[in-house]
This record gives sequence, structure tokens and C-alpha cells, in this order.
Amino acid sequence: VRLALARTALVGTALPLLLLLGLVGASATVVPGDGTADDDSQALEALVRAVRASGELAYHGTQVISTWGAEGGTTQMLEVWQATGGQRWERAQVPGRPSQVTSMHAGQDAAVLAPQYTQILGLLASSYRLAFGGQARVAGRQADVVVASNQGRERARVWLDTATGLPLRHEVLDASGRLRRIATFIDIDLDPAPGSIPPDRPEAVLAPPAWPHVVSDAELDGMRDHGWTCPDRLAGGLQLVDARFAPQTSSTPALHLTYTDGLSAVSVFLQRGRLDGGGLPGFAAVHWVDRTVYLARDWPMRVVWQDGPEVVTLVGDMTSDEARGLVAQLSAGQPGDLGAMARIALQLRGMFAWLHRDSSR
Amino acid sequence: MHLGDRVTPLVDGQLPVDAAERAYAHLATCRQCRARVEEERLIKSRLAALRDPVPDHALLDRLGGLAAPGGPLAPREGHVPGSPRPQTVPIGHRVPDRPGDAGGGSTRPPGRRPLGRGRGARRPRVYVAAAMVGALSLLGAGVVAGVATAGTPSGPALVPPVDSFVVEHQATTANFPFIDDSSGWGETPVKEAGR
Repeated sequence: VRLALARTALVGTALPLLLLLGLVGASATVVPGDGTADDDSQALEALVRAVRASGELAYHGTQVISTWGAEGGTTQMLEVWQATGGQRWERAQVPGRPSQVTSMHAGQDAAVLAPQYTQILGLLASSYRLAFGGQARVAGRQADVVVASNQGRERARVWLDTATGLPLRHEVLDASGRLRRIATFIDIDLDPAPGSIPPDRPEAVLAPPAWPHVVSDAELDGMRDHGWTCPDRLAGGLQLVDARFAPQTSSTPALHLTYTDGLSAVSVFLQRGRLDGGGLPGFAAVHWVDRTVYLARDWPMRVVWQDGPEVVTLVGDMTSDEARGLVAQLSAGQPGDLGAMARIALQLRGMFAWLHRDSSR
Repeated sequence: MHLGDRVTPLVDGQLPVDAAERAYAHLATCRQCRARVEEERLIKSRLAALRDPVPDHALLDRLGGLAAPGGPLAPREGHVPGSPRPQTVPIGHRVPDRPGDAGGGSTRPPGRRPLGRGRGARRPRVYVAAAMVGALSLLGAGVVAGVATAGTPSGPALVPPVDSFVVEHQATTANFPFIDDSSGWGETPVKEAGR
């Protein structure tokens, strides 16, 4: 048992820190932005401790999440229970419901999460300059503040509980300095009474798990060979960290690519077919980057468009400008309105690629 | 109230988000419906794992037999090896194309066409030329069609299940630190006035 505990401790603390430092060193060479050499080691250590605490500690609290976009803002208040090990219940009032809805999220083993945490923290550290920003109080608790900045601009501020490391509040700003998102506890109990978790209402709705079929690197390379758009990186330092196939029972096969820079996450869904934009209620057709895209008006940002043989759906935490930039990047190989010469070039390119593939077999 | 005919669309991911949510809530408490969903998922996964049908060998043999040569063909009219050769015609002597034409009558054995620059001799070339023109036309049509359709989508019309994609996005990023997309798992939070 001691050996198992020691192993868990190693996986949970020393290994992520070592991997993180290694990743920071490796990724600093390829990600443009502020040098990681300036990162405050105290800030890095605090973030490593924070992600571990957020996945393991038991607590009960009330959290307010607000996001702002071009069309206005949204606010959600959640009552949150988390059991030791990460199993989590969230109760919220949602539109159109007479009563609050409680959802349950299954926790994951710390050893499973450690590599993902390490990768994301590595991205955060390599994309932003991290610095210790003093102390403040959140929800009545003493907190250490970590500031993330990029190209001289502050992009995020994180308040971490001084005693446990648990993230209590964070603010994310866009490139122009406008507040984009706040998530903060307004009250929290880090020593909940035994038996108070899970909450007293058992009729919690199970939050659906992610698609189970994780796409391997080899499968992803194969899909790229067949013309699927699967870039490793997107604009703004977003890096591909996860790829999954839709379950086989889905009506249309779909590939889900997840990108993050540590502070924001964007999903790209790819399907082969012909987009029926008229079947997207609540979406407005707008003209972006020489093509028609369908844009949802509310949170989170959702953009759908036809890109050659693919239908692309973009989902995530981003501004309109950022979404437009991603549409341009993802559509770089597929002009929206092809001229005759462009079509011929595209056709010839496809034929040569086909011949090359055949001759190389 | 049990899921009934909503089991199949639930397994297929075709239920709207709110209906799927109600269905999941029901599944949390109803063992009978959970069993039906599991059964449906099992059937779907087994169907998906089935290989393409392979035709029966005997059937293939019978189909092949239809294309095989039949009995001996009837003897061909004209010169048969071993029979007397037809009379030769001096150079310059016109061979009438049709019986009754002037020119001394036909010496061409029936069923055989003379070599030379006659109309019949041009036919193979006409066929070749026609075949080439046809091939070029097809190639041209293919290029034109390809140019016209390059980069254009094909296949059936598609409406992405965006609500399901939002749920999947939130499920995937639920464990990302400092990212709060998991709350509400697909529900749009309360809207407030814009800034």
C-alpha cells in the first residue's frame, strides 16, 4: 500500500513537474511569444499544485461564471460539490426549466489526468509569461495571484488558495485587454461535513462522457493523407491536444480535434458532406473570408461552414475576430469562391497527389 | 414513463439535447430502459462490425459459365483452307462492289473484303478515329466536370449536430484547468444584457 501511495504521489507531483519543465523547455523553441526563461518558478509551482488540487480536493461552494462576447454577456451561477477524487456535481438554473438541474461529472484517475495536465500547463507556460502577482482574498480566503501575460499585455490572472492551492478565481482577457471571462467562487467550504457530498438530490443527470475512440497519431496521419484538415496548431498559440472519432452509431462520421493554449479551448469538428445551412436554427449566415459561414448568436461561439468536401464546425471560447482568423486558417487550402484557374490547379494538384500515392505503393 | 421508441434515436445521438437530457435522467433511475439501451447499443455495434457480404462461390461459377464459349460455331462462308483458291484478278481491273456492277463480276469470295483503299477498308480507321474522338470527348468532359466541381461538396445534405458537438467539446475540456466550458454541458446559460 505504501508503495502504491508513493507511486501515486510521484505521478501526482514530481512527475508532472519534471515533465512540465521538460515540455516548457521543448515547446519554448516552437511557440512564438514571451520567453519562458522569464517565468517565475514560484508561479509555475503554484499552477502545478493548483491543477492537482482542482482534481483531488473535496469542497462545496458557489461559483459564478461570466463570459462576454461581441453580442453581449452571459452569466451562470453554479452550486458545486466535489468529492475527493474529482467526482463533481453542479447544480444550475438553466433557461426553460422550472427547477434547477444537477449534472454529475465522473472524476478521472489522477494518473490518467497527469499527462494532460502537464501538457496543458506546458502550453500555458510556453505561450505566456507567468509571474507571481502577490496575494489577495477571494470568498473569504487568502489567495496567491499568478499573472499570465503575452507580448507585454496581461492576458489572465489566477487566484489560488494559499492553504490548498485550489483555484478560487480566474479572469481571462482578450488581446485588446477587455475582460472575456471570469470564474470565481463567491463562497466555498474546503472542509465539507462528512456525508454532505454527494448532494441530497440524487436525481443528478449524468454528464455525457467524451467520445471514447481516441484517434492515434498514426490514424491522424492517415486522415491527413486522405485530405482531412488536421493542423497541429492554430493561430493564437492553440495546439492540438486531443482527437476523437464520433461513435460508430452516429449518423455521420465526425472527427473532433481539441486545441488549447492553456487558457482557452477550441474544438474543430470535421465531417464529409454538403452543408445544409438552412437546417441550423439560431444561426445567422454571414460572409467571412470569401465564404458564407453560419454563426450562432449566443455563447459559446459556434461557427459552421463548408470547406471543400468538409463541413467544419468550430466551438469554443473565442471572440468573433479570433473565430474569423481560425476560419481563414482552416480554409487556407480551400478558397471559398474558386476561379477557373484555381479549380484547374486544385484538380491537377489532386490528380498528381493521386498518381504519386499510386506510384509510391 | 419508459423511453419506448426514443431508445433508438438516443443511441444514434439523434435526440435533441433537452430530450436526450431527460432520457439520461430517466436512465439513471430505470433499470429496464438501461437494459434496452445497452441491448440497442450492442446490436448497433455488432451490425457495424459485420463485414461486407461475400457472394456464394457456386453462384460466381454459374455467372462465369454464362460468359464462357458455347458449342462449335457454324462453318464460315468463303475460302476454306484446302479448297480451290479463287481466281486472281489482274492489277488495274476494277472489282465491282456490288453484284451486277460493270467490271467483269466480282471475284471476291463472299464473306471476305478486299484489301486496298475501298470504302470497306476505311472502316477500321473510322472506328479507331471514332474511338479516339470519343475518348478525347470523355476526357474533355471529365476535365470540364472536374474543373466545374473541384472543391465543391458532394454527397447528401448534412446538418451538423451542433448541440451534440457543444456537449462533446465540454466533455473533452471538462478536466482542463482554468477553462470553464464544462458547466451546463450543452445548456446555454442565462443571458444578460450586453455591455
